[in-house]
Amino acid sequence: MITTSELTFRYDEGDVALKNIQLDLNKGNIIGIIGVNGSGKSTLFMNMVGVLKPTSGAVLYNNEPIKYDKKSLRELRKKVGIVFQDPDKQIFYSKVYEDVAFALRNIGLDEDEIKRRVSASLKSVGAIEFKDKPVHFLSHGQKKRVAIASVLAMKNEVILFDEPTAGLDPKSVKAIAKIIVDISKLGTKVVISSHDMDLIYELCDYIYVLDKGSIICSGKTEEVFTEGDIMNEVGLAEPWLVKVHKNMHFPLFRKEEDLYVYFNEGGR
Amino acid sequence: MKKLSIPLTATILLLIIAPVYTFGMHIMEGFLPFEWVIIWSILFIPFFMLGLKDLKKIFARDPRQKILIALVTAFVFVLSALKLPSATGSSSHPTGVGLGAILFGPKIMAVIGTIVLLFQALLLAHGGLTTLGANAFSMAVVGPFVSYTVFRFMRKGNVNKGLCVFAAASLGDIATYIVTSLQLALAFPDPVGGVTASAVKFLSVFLLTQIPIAAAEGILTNIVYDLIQKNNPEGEEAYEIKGYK
Amino acid sequence: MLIIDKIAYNNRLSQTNPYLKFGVGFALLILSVLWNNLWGLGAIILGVNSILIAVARINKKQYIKLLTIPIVFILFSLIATIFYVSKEKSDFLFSVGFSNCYIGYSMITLMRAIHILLRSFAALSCIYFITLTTGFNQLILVFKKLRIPKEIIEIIMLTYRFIFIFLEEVAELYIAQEMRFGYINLKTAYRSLGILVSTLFTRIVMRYQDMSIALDTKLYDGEFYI
Repeated sequence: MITTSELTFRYDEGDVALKNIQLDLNKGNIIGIIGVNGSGKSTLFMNMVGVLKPTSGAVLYNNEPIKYDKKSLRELRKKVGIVFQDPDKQIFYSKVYEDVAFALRNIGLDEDEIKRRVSASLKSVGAIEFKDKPVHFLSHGQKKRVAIASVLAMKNEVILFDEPTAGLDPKSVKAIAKIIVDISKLGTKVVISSHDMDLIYELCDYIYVLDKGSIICSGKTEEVFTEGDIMNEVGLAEPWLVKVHKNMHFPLFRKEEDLYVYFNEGGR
Repeated sequence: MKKLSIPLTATILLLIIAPVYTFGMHIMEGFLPFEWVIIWSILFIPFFMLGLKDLKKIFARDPRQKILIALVTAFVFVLSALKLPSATGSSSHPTGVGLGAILFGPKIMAVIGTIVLLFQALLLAHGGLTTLGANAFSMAVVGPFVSYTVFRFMRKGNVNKGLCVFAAASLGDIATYIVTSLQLALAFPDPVGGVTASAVKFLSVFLLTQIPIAAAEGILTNIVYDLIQKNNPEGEEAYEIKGYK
Repeated sequence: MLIIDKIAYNNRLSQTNPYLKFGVGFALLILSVLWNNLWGLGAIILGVNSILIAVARINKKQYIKLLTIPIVFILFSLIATIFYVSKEKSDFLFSVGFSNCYIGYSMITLMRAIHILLRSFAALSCIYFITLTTGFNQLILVFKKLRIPKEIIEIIMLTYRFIFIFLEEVAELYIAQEMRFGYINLKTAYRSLGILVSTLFTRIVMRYQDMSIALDTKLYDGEFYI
């Protein structure tokens, strides 16, 4: 499992992008990393998959600092997958099946196993209907599913999602949320970075709040979101269920259905 | 028989023929007779193989550059699908290879240009498979070679960069038109004047209608090159194919 | 924008064996260029177009539109091959005189032009037969069979994917510029086009970096398997 130890990163000419990050993915099953643009989320993800190397400190996998030679990175990336925000930047084939199979062929699996995994992952993201369609005929939401499927097929231990619902319509957001929950149920560790606070609130059980490259707050979801005025201080929105709790003095609910039950049964 | 003045006839002829050449300098599918299909297909292959050899070397060193080459090829294709507006209201398409030749050199442009022509033939019915050899020779071999040579030569002479780019792009286009005219003249000689008269005929029509288009592409290429430089202050070396040249 | 691509995946023959489609189409294409018999060429034209309309059920209106531009192009190109210069008026069926020569056409050039027209139409029909019934993804299989160098096929495959991304970007950029009067006169049009193209190019550089990273996370080892 991924942990970081005093991870500090600085781009060549720039300011320090990450300061002394202490991350421990053992703390939760679906971990949220939130922060405004420029707070360092993407840089952190890049460090976690070994694309960027820390200026000081380390990224550790199962308590071993990761090594940056080609072979070690390959091994790391067999265990840690990442789904980028823009599906067009990670889909190389114009046939859906071929793109999902791409990473599996690179690993060297045999064709039968590949067929099985591709079908399974396409089914789990609801993309099996368009497995033979050319990618450029797909909508943004459908492309996103294909991108997720191609990472799912790799059967990683950890999957990082960079803004998984950006630009999607509400129906697609729900669908992706369900996919993420299903992935987590299978035992895969999930890390999400997002601006959608309601999504984070709904899905994550542990949160890291990044501000200007440092973790200014971390903890269980309810604790972080009710911690003083942190959200406003760093420039983030609050999940609406939290706002209801704070401003209407209702108990803090994780699920909106519970709020409705509470309200309709006259609990005030 | 009335004797019309040359300028008038020329103008009438031009107005009839000019719309044709707004579709670029591609020779259409099936236009060339069989002998010339074979000859030009054979002639362009060595240049293509030269470029392919270079590409294989680049890929052996860094296989990720396959993505870069493909991106450039798609870029040139899309560039050639744009419409260049003109003062007369009609529009034309840039060939796209001028900019590519200046940035990446003529050898790999032979390959990139040919692949672009393949896509144009298959996705746009522009040009053709039987005429791929001929079109590749004019547009992917001669054109880029001229653009590149003019550019390097003028740069060595310390000529103003904008002028270099303009000259390189437009002269590259003009070289393409000349080759195409010759290809047509060879395939369709005049009954009386033979290939020579036919060549003069095609050349005069082409050059008259195409010079403004070549100039237009020259201007556009210059604007683009200038902006690319401004946006990438590390200099043109930053996006030259790594390891090439 | 790429109508041919859309039709290729959406007709009655799109699932048919691509080797068959390409084989037949290409054979007829070569025949069109080889065969000098005008009746034969006419037969090819009729036959191939019938298959396209009747069997593949290509939309007639769309197809006629697709045929129009190349045919008009061919017709105009033919004009240049018909006319020529001679000192003897008697050569010509029709001519216009100048100070010391005549420009006109004769039976020779006319017959030649008819041959070219039929040949081009036949060849065009054959090429449309291939491209309108065979999606590009299928064509790539054909390229593989034809033993085209592996690197070339990889580039072709990737290029096909990227073309559509760029076309979308160009459309967005163009509309955004137009909304701000980027194309109201010639000068602004060139400047806007220049910005459009250079923006597209700069995005290539960034896209390449992002895609390289994506390749690494997908354990790319240098091969694109086809």
